Amino acid sequence: MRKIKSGKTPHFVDLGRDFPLAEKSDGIIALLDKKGIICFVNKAHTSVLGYSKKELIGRPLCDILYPDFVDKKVVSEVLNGKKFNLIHAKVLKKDGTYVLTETNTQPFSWKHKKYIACFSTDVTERYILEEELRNSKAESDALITYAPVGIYEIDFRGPRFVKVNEAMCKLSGYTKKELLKINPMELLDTQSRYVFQERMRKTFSNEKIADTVDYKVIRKDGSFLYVSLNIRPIYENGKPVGAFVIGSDVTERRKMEEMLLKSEEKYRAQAKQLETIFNNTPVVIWMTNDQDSKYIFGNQTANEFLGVPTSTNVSKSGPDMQKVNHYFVVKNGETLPPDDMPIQRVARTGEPLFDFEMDVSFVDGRTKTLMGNVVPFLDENNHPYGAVGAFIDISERKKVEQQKDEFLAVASHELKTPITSLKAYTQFLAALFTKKGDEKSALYLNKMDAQINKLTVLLNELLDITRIQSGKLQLKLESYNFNELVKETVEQLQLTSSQHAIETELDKDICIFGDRYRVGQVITNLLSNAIKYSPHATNIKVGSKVSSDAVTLSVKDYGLGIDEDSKDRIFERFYRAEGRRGESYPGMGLGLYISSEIIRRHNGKIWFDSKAGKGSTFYISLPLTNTLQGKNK
Amino acid sequence: MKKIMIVDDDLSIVDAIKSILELYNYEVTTCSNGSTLVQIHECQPDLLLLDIWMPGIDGKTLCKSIKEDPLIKGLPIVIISASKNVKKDASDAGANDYLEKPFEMDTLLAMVSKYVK
Repeated sequence: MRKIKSGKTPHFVDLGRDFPLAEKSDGIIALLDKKGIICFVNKAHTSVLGYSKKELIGRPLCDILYPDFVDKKVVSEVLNGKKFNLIHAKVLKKDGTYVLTETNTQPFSWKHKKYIACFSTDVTERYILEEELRNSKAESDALITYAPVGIYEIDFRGPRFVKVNEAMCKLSGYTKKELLKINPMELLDTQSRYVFQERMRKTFSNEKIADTVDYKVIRKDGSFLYVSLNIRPIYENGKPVGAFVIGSDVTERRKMEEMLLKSEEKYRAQAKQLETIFNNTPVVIWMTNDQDSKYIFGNQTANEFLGVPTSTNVSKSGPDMQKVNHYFVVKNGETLPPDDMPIQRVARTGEPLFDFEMDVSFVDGRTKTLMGNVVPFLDENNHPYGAVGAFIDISERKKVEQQKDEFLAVASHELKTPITSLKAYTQFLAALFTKKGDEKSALYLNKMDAQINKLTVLLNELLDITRIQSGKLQLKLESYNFNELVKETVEQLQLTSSQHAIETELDKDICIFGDRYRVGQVITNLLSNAIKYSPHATNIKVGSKVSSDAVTLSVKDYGLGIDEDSKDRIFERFYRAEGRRGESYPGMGLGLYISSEIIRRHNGKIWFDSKAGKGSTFYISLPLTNTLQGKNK
Repeated sequence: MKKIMIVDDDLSIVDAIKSILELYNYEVTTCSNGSTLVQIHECQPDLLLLDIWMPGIDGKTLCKSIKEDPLIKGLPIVIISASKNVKKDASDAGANDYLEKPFEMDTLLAMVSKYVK
């Protein structure tokens, strides 16, 4: 008994993921390279022979063949790319026993390499049976009946079936009774019928028959399958009168052969399409097919971005690292070591990166900012074997963002400076006139001052909107006493209206975490709205309630209320309320929008109850435990 | 009479604040350039109103150097600024208090009387 030589497999690459259909096929499939080294075996192969993929892939095929069984010349012709049908081979199993196979070979190219695809059927059972029949000469009925391959005897004088076994019925879809009434030739399609007759003729006249062939069998239900037939003539008085035929179903093997050819064509077409997309997309793409990222190639956009010729290996982790020392990847101000660069990291760890931002610094002093996603290529066991990253150049956007930040800061300062002096002069004059006893002039100046205050509010709202839109509304987080803030705000707002009495009913004192100034701004907004929109009411109620996880503040007025049509829109930007008689109210319609944004940023809620003509109650609720750190942008 | 010094690059603001404070009987000196530290030593004010965002002068550094100068470190400083960050800027610079522009005259007067008794 022979055994496969033990030893370390020199090179193991599982191509299973490239041939998912072959991998799942029941047919025994192997790919050989030109030297006869096994490059791929499918699952059926491993289960029939008992070797793991690792034990086989990378070994010469000869290691598992009985040399006396296969013609060396045939083997070398196979490896030279000749197509063979039904080569018989004896293959050594891991347990020391053997399997007899019928194999078709087919030269095949994949990803620019040439392979030999071997499609085999296990015909051991059939051979043993034939052997027995040959040896005993006595056809054992039981053996024939229950053999797992189709067996039948034909009498050419019918022509008709003389005997058929169970497997033959299963194969053809007919019952035994039906088969015995059918002309056996009707089971074959026209071409196969011709081939069968031709071969019979040759057999009987002792002519040489080339390869064995597959026959196409039409089943009772109209479907078809392929069988390979072993035919033994039956003579009577020296004349051929019939044949004893053993047939195995090789449909699966045939399907795989066809599939492989088709998938190769499809692969070529897809590869061409992908290549076209890859090279013409305006996105920077880099890709590696090895876990160590020794080779990273980019598309045309990527090569133009880095200023390298087409097909340059841009990996800083590989053999060509010296050729790409004109750029560095910088993250948070620090140059990343090659192994931490995004493609390398993802190919190694298998963890994808999303919205990854990095600066690419060139030795000529330029810096570009890229943002993109990097995803790993995973094999069927979810192990990474490469990665692809797609990036867009956001350098221009970054610059604009920075300019916007600067504009905000300058606008804020430049607009507030004249307002500050205008306000100070106005108040100075009002105080001066009051001292001199000119109350009338002082009154006008106080009215001017009130308008300046409105201007200040509008300016602040405008700046806030710009901040919100550019994602620059910064929360300054601190722990603060909520009731104190409410009381302070109520006191300030009470000063602005002598008509309304603001009553407060507050729950217990608690400290919450958030931006005190911004929450104060929200409360101010709710209170000033309550005052503004209840011109004929005399009081406003402010209440708070502390629950286990939140504090809720309510501001209730007895004013105009909100009509049904407007209820969905009041938190929208630039929405302005109108009185029922068409009166308009000052403001740009930004207050509630800004308030809702501020509350949202605190992970809180803002809502209201209102009835037109009866007044409104606005609520805000803020979580007691807030995990806002890290969200501060 | 209590002496208050105003440092701001915008002369109209300096003038307006000066007018208000003088109306309430404070003596006011002003400065709008980098020689502030020398002037403070010379005129020994009781309170400094300091804008920290001025072209060419780093208000924060000025504030810190006053607070580190043994002769004048007791001088109360109120930062006045149009920035939303004025509270943080003031505490970073070691100032005693802050006023956000634009401010109410009453708030200014309350702030002044808090530090100048």
